[in-house]
Amino acid sequence: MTRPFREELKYVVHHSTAATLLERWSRHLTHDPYADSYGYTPVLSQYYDTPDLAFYFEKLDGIEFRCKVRLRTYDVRFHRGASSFLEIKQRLGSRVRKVRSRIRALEPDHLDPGRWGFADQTTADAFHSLAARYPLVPSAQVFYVRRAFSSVVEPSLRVTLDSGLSALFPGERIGSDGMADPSRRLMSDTLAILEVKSTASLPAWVTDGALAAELFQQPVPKYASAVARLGEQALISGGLKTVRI
Amino acid sequence: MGVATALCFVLAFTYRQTHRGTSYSQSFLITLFVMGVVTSIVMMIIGSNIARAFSLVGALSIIRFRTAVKDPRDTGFLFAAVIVGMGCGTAFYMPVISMTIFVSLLVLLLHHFDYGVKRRLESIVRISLEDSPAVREELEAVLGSTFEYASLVNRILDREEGQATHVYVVRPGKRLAFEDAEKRLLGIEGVLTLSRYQTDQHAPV
Repeated sequence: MTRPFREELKYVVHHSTAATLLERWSRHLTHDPYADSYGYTPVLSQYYDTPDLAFYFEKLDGIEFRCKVRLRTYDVRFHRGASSFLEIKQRLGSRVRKVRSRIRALEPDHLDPGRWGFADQTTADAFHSLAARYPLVPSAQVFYVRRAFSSVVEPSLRVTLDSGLSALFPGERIGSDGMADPSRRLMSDTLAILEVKSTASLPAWVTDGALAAELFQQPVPKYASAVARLGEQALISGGLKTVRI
Repeated sequence: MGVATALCFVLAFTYRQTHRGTSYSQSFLITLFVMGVVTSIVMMIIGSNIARAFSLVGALSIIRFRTAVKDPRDTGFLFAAVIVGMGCGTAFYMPVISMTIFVSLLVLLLHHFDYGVKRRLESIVRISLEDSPAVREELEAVLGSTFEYASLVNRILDREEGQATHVYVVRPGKRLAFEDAEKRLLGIEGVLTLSRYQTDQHAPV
């Protein structure tokens, strides 16, 4: 499924600022229906890159048109029971577009895209076309917990609050204590990434709220931060195994 | 130039002795010397010539400072180095020597007595628990009665294992020590582990 280009605003916020802002926006937003009773959803993404991390370095170099490939599940680990999605995220300047497909029967080897069953043919074609040009291998994993909200009026508007960001090596599993290793944390527990995404122009209540909270936009690259945290050289020299696609 | 270097050395020594956090940079220390000495020469070149002063403003405007100053304290030390340079370049030795000694002693004293530190810091508490409504309710009741303030900032649910990890930002009350609060929390049946992190007010975000 190909989604239209959308704008993304990103802010790093303190938990108290986020609470104030969500309170202010509460009459415009509704909770994500897939979240648990507290409104939290775990998000685990396995990113794919070339063995020399070309996508990562394109991000660092600020290439205008670039893409990311990731396998995403809304659970603490990839397993057959959990829905998994292959996403190709294309960026053109400040605009972002995603191609996304559910992956059927992921287990036992979620790192081997050659065995995946794509539910959506457009995404499968896009992925295989990309895989023909780039030797894609599993690189870093990023885990975080998301609170997602959608607008009650604007159908394309979504607000997400991501916290507890952690970096993992390919195939590495999160411990039962919920990834407590502080050396893998990408930011403090008191901070979160607030994202506002919309294919249409942003309503005034969003911009008014951001202004009132004195937020300023800043790039928060989750994948690039995870690679940097795990170590580029560690990933290039030892961490990445080439997988036949 | 010699006096400016000596005074910048005093400032650099004070900066190094009182630095906290993870953003220490040797190049910043060297910049302090460069700023002091260069400013003293700039002042000598300008002298009392207004035309030269305006030309220098124009010439120096091509320099852009793109490096973010990570700590407001760094700005203070840079400013002090510039003032040292200005004083030395215009032969106001006594005022800048006095300023350097006074500022250095002041900063060392403030550092020694940890002036301005917030005594009752917020802490981050990560609690692993069995994910049942009864355990969650009891946990929240104990948190509410134990801490002055407790806010859930994250929750990681492992559906397969039936366990959850809750992350709270808490502010300890005046009467109860954190160790006692920890005992109460671990005494709840269904609470598996507890870890606590102090929010580091010295570390830059």
